Parts: sequence; structure tokens; C-alpha cells
Amino acid sequence: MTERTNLSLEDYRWDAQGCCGCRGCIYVDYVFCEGAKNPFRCPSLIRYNFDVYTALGRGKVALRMLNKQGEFTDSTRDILYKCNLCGACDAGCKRNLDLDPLMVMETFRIWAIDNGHEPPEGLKKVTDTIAESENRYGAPHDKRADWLPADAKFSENPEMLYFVGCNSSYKNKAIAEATIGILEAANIGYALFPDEKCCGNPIYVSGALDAAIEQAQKNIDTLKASGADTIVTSCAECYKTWKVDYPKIMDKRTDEMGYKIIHITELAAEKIEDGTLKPSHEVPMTVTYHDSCNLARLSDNWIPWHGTRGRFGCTEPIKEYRRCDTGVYKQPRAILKSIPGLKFKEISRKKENALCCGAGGGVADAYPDFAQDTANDRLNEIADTGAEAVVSACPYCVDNLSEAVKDGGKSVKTYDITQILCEALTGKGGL
Amino acid sequence: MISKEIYKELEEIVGPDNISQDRDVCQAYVMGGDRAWHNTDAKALSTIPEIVLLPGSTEEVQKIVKVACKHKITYTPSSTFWFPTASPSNEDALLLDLKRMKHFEIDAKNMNATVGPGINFGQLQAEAMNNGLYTMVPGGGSQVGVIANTLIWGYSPLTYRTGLANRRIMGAEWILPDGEIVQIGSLASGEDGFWGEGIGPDLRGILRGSIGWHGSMGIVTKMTVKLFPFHEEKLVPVGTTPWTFFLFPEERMKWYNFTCPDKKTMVDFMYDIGHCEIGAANTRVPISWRYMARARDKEKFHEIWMEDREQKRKEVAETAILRVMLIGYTSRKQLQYEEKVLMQIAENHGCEHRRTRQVDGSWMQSCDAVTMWWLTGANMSVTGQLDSLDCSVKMGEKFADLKEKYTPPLMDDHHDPGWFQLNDFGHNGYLEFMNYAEPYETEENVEKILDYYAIAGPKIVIDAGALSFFNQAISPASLDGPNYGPNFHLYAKKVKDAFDPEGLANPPGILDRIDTVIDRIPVLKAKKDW
Repeated sequence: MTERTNLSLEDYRWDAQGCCGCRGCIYVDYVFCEGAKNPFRCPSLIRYNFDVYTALGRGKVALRMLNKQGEFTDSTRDILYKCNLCGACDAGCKRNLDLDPLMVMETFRIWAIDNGHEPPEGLKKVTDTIAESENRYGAPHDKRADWLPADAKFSENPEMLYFVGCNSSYKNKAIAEATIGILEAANIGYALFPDEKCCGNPIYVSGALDAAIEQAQKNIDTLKASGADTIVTSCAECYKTWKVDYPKIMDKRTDEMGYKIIHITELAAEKIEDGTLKPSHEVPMTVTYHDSCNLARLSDNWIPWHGTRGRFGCTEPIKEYRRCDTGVYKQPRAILKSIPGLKFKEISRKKENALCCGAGGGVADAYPDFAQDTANDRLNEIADTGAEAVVSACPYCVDNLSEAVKDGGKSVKTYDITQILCEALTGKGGL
Repeated sequence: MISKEIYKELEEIVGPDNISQDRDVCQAYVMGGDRAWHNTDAKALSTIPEIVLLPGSTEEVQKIVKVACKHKITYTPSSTFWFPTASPSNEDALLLDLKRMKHFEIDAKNMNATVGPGINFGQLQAEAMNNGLYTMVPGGGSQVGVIANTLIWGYSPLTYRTGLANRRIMGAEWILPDGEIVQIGSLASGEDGFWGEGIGPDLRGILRGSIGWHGSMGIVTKMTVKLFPFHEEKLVPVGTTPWTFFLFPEERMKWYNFTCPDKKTMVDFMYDIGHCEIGAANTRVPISWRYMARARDKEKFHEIWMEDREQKRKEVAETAILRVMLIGYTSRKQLQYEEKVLMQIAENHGCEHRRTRQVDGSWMQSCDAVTMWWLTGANMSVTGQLDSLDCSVKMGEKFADLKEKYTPPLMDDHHDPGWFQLNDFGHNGYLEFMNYAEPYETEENVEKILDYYAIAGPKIVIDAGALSFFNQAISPASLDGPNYGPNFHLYAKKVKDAFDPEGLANPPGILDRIDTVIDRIPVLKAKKDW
């Protein structure tokens, strides 16, 4: 194994050691704590209860491995991968100690792969499938754009390329259709991302860094060849991968990548505010909003830091801190509040304190029961709002919550925000 | 090594999902080891538990304790795991992680709540405020367990009005070291939580006293705590982590900062406020806090706090800032009345009212300590003392003198005499002397800091005849016992021996703790002169 020059667990030793056990990583920010119910924001702890299933516990395991003080066992693998990489711990730690626990866990997975430990079977299967067929479902690559309606209005000189993502290309096609409905309503010149391939998020979260770099490079090369520099996406996972993970694995700043990635909610909120988009069709529904981790607290621009730490951890050169505070929190809410007839009710754990839907970090693939337990926990919280529907801006959140609704015989409806907005703009959101 | 048979016995109590002997799982409950240096106790005593259990009920805790007693196995209770005594100090120990015990019941009419060990102060305060009530949230933070903290600590600026922790206990369900259950106060009689004493002698004294037993006198599985009247107007939470705070409803709650001519005048001012029985908090502001408030990261804090040290030392010596919170509990008029009284007292003392933001990010439902950790990059620990305010001031000066001898390696705070405040409207004074230490010190510097914490610090409290708070946990009972008694330590030991003759409940116990620490650290043992 060649030594990692970036994204090495050793680079985050300071963050693993610096934990004092304050538990800011597991509890909702106290200012937003609403009562005895729902105090935790860490899905892994909620499900497994032992402290090792938290950032503070995993940091200790990581240190043991770094210090060669223990074996990597099957139990160690479970502890490492029974984590949604949802970043709730990271947001909490910024309030108390300003460490990077999420990067400890991400680089711990990279360390595990580099040291010959396989990811859990379900996740491995997905990464193998992507390698074979360029999408996570094993569907034919040449059918990726089959969802496209015949009357889609592509521009010859597009302002931006639409990166659809595996999920909306093959599974939740209504999201892709609603997205181009929004783009067309806003009179934005767009075209499909040419020869789109999986963004590689499952590969990165598995810890297979070299393969993730290879996958990223394919899409980046395609973008460069197209001559475009702006991408719009309706997938929160693809958004975060392009915005945060690609620069991270290339060891560059987000603003040095030579392209701009926009989520459809950012674009739509801006167009609603400047009057270009006018939601005029009533959507008579009471909804709450579920923040996708990838769109919200995980989407701060990536800023690499290489330097030394002096006394009290002071950095040289001075580190530009990422603190989960610049993500896409307000735009989805602004969109929902602009829709006539729609009543918006805020959920208890929200924004940077939101509970993950349960799917993230490869958990839906590796540990589906855990993913569903978390979704059920979230659905109970959704029920407490009194909303008849939950809206998200991530197809994987919608999928995981929908599955729990179906399995649990619950009545709450699940929508992607593009469907709701398209309905309000055109009356054709397919609700 | 605990046998497979005993493991099986324990597994039958909690079920297979709630017990583990896995090395990774157990190691998460060690506080010291190769992690950042945090505390003398943690460094010297923390030991990996042999088995971790997650009991879900009082009955399960009781059964576990009985099994432990039967097989003479030591056990340590932990709820939110913030204090070093929540980690075992010897091998072959059981760790009872109590976070699954989430009982919560609020009696708004009688102003109390009954909680399990899995409930923290953030939850309690939020529920209290939802019901027009409030309590204090300790310096350790809102994430601290209510029962654990009420048993060993329970201080914050709000204890100026809410009073000391032992007086807030209205009832407890307590599993004694041998596994028997005793219920005290209102939980014993099944009445509303209006009293804590119990029918005969007040057992709260044995349960807690000044700083409790830290789990070495059994496990409290339920507690009824007193809540206090608040007002009905909402504190609005705003911001995105880490920049979150409450907006005050200014006609019902306000901060007041005053610049006082000198420290003595400030202390007189504080006493006068207490005598008038106004206010919700009444505390000195250490100068370093003002610099933390100006910084957005630790790099900036160290830059502005360490520049021009001569001037900083002068600023610390000459600046006396008092921070007061007033609350119109019953009405807006109450706030108006209290403000008039406060301003009159300020005028009498020649203290100048300063502008301040009407928001709160650290007292009503929060924690001071962790924010200080963030913005200093240091591991922050406190020493201090609990007595009269005059005593707090004097001890703060003694500590400042002592600390200079250990600075560096401790972070220079320019001879600041600590944070002091009033409790119980002035019946009690409280000094918290903060020490900021580099988390990754050299071994030589660690030894120096350990000497400060474990030997020199406690000794100046003992020499002054003062009553320590944390120091009761880290100072030798044989030396500071006479300050409490004169034979406090002897009788405390008798009580412990009577309830726990085998010493199984979270050894080494509060009375022997510091001697055990010192005996395990050669450099300290060499300095032990008692």
C-alpha cells in the first residue's frame, strides 16, 4: 500500500484524541432541544445504545488501530459501518470542541480498505455493481436517460447541465421529470449531463478512495469535454459528492474545481425570490420538511488544510473552519412557504440537528434493518408535527422513508420537493 | 476475568443486546488512556471495564448489583459519562451505562419533575420551560445527566436563585450498594414531590451532602427534582450551530453588565443585590470570557488574549465587571421594579451600567465549559471552593498566585482571580477557578500540572481552612476532613463501610480517591507528605 498523501486517518489523529467525551456529538443543540422526547441526533446511538456507536467511541477504536493496539475484527467492521456518516456529530462537535469527528470516521473507512479489510457485503455489492454498470442498480448504462420525456426542451447553448443521478434516472423518474419542469418554467437553458455515470458516493463512503477518485475523474473529464462549467442536480447525494467529496479526494478547494454545482432548490428559491418562478397552482396539503444530510449540514464547501498544530491546537497556517453552518437550509423552506395552499410545519429535529433518514453512509445497503429503524424513528417525529406529508430534497431520503411508510402501514405521504414545486408551477407535478 | 457463567447470569437480566464484553465496546467507556490529557483522576484511574451493561429498569439495575455483590465484582454507574468517576478504576469491573432509563414525568402544578438517569438537563429545562417553569443547567452543560449532576454538583449562575443542589432533591429511588432499594422524600410516601426530607431523619445527607459519593454509595435510578416558576413568554432559539442562542423577551428578561470601580465595591454590590432578593443571576465576569466572546476560533482568541501581556495584566487587575440577570417572573412590572432597585444599588456604589446584547448562548439551557474548550483549544478544568463570597475572593487570589508558579505550562490568564458568584441570594459564595491546559503536553509538563491539581491546589484550600467543592473529590480526606468536622472524614468512612463493607460500589470511593491517584503516579507519590 502506498502512503496516503491526503485523507489519511493519521491526519485526523488530533481530532480523535481531542474528544473529551462531552457528548455534543449525540445530542441536539440545547438551544433547539424541545423536551424529553427526541434528544439524540445520532442514529447509530439511538439504534445500538452503546457509546462505541458514536463519534466519541469510534474515535477511540480508530486510535487503537492507529496505535496498533488491537485487531480489526468483524465487530470492528460493524461498529465502523453502522454509521450513516450523516455529520450530526460533526455539527455538534463544532459547538463544543471544534473537532472534525466526521473526517475521523471517513478516513477510518479509507484506512480499513487500505489495510485489506472489506466493507460490509451489501455495500461491497453496490460498489462492485457501479464498477460494472456505472450505476448502483446494475441497470443498463445505455438506458440511463430513458426517463426523458419526448417533449423535453433542451437548449443548444445550455447555461447548465442537469446531472440526474442514478436514483432519479432509474427509480424515481418523477423527480427527474419534475426537475426539468422547473428548469423549463424558469426559462433556463439546460441540457442533460452527457454520458452521465454514477457520482461514486457509495464508493467513497465504502472507503475505497482510489476507486472513488477514478469514478470522480470520469465525470469531471466528461464535464470538461462538454465545455460547460455549471451543473444542476436534484439529487442531494450527487450534489454533496460534486461539491464536497470531489474536491476532498482531489485535495482542492471547492472553488478551485473549475465548475459550479447547484442544487435545484438553490436555483428555484432564487428564481422565486426574483419573481421568475411564480408558484400559482394551489397545493392544499400540510407538510413538514426533512433536511437531507447531504444537502444541509454536509454541504459546506471543502477547504483542504495541511499544516502544523502548535500549543492548544492552534493551526499554522490558520485553518479555515468548516462548521456545518453554510448548507442548504433556508432555500427548501422558502420554496415550500411560497406555495399557495400549502401549510408548512417545522419538525422538532431540523436543519443541522436533523435526524438522518437512515439511508446514508452506505447503511441502507449494508444494514437495511438499521436504516428502516431510523426511518421509523423519523416517521414518528413527522407524525408529531401533524403533517400529512413529508417533503425532502433527496431521492434516497424519500426512498427510505417511503419504504418505512409502506412496511409500517403508515398514512403519511412522502414527496420530493421537485414534485411539489412542479405541481405548484405547472399543475403537473404528478402528486 | 469474569467467568462465562457470571456473564450468562448478567445476560439473562438485560438481554443479549444490552450486554457486551467486546473490546471495542468496552474501551469506549475509558476516560484516560492515550487520549487527550483531561484530568488527574482520568489519567491515573480510568480502566477498561470487563463488561458493559445497558439496564432498562430499576429492577434490572437491582438484579445486576445483587449479582455483583454475590460474586464480589466491583461496579460503576454512568449516565452521561462526563465526570472521571464514571469510569471504572480497577480491572474486572462492570460498567452500568444507564442511558436507556429515560423515565420523565413533570408535575407542573407542584413544580417538580421525576427523571431517570438517561434524562439530561437540556431535556429537563426544555420541558420545564414548556410548562412555565425552569431550573439551572450546570456548567458541565445541558448534555449532563440530571440525576448524576444533582448528586455530585448542581451549580450554575442560576443557582443564585434556584439554590444548591441538595435542596432541589424532592425524592429519590436509590439502590444501595448491596442491591436493596430505599426510597426517600416524596418518592417514599407516594405523595406529590413537595418535600425531600422523608418521615424521620433526612437521608439526603447520606445520599449527597456537599458533593456526594460519585457512585460509591449505590445507584440512584429515579429522582424528583424541584422546578421553579418562570414566565410564560418564549425564549426564541435562533442561529445555526455553532452560532446559536436564545433571544430574550426583553420585557421579561434582561442582562445588565456593570463596570465597578474595584473588586471590593463589586463584592459589596453583589451582596446588596442578594439582600434585596432581586435577580436570577449575579456573577463576576472573568476578563478572558470577554476575549472569547470576540473570537471566532481558538487561533483568534490566543492572538488577542496573548498580545501585550503587560496591558492584559493591568486590565485583569483593574477591571471589575458584574453581570446580573433579572427576570420578571410574575409580570413585566416585576422586571421594571427590580431594574429600579438594581440601578439604585449600582448608583450607590458608583458602578457604571454598560450595554450588553439581550441574548443567551450559555446559561439558560447551555454550558459554559465546553464553549471555553472550543475557543481556547485547551482542556479546561476547575478547582475552587464553596463558602462565603468573601472567602471566594480571597481563595481566588491565592489560587492566582499559586497558578503563576505553574504557568506555563498552564495557559496564562494574566493573574485572573477566577469566576465567583453568589448562590441562594448571597447566603453562599462560589469560586470556580479555571485552569486551561494544553491537551497534548510533554510528560514533564504533565507532571507539573498534575502536581498543581493533585497536591499544591488542594493544599492551599486545606491550609486556608476553606471548604472545597471539587477538591473534596481530589483532596485527601484525612487532611481536609477536619475542615468539615473536625471528624467528618471518620464518620463518612464509617457510613461507607456500613453500607458497602466489601467496597464494591465504584471504588476507590470518594474518600480514598486522591490517595489512590497519587499512589498510581510515581512523580506525585514522591511528593506525598501525608
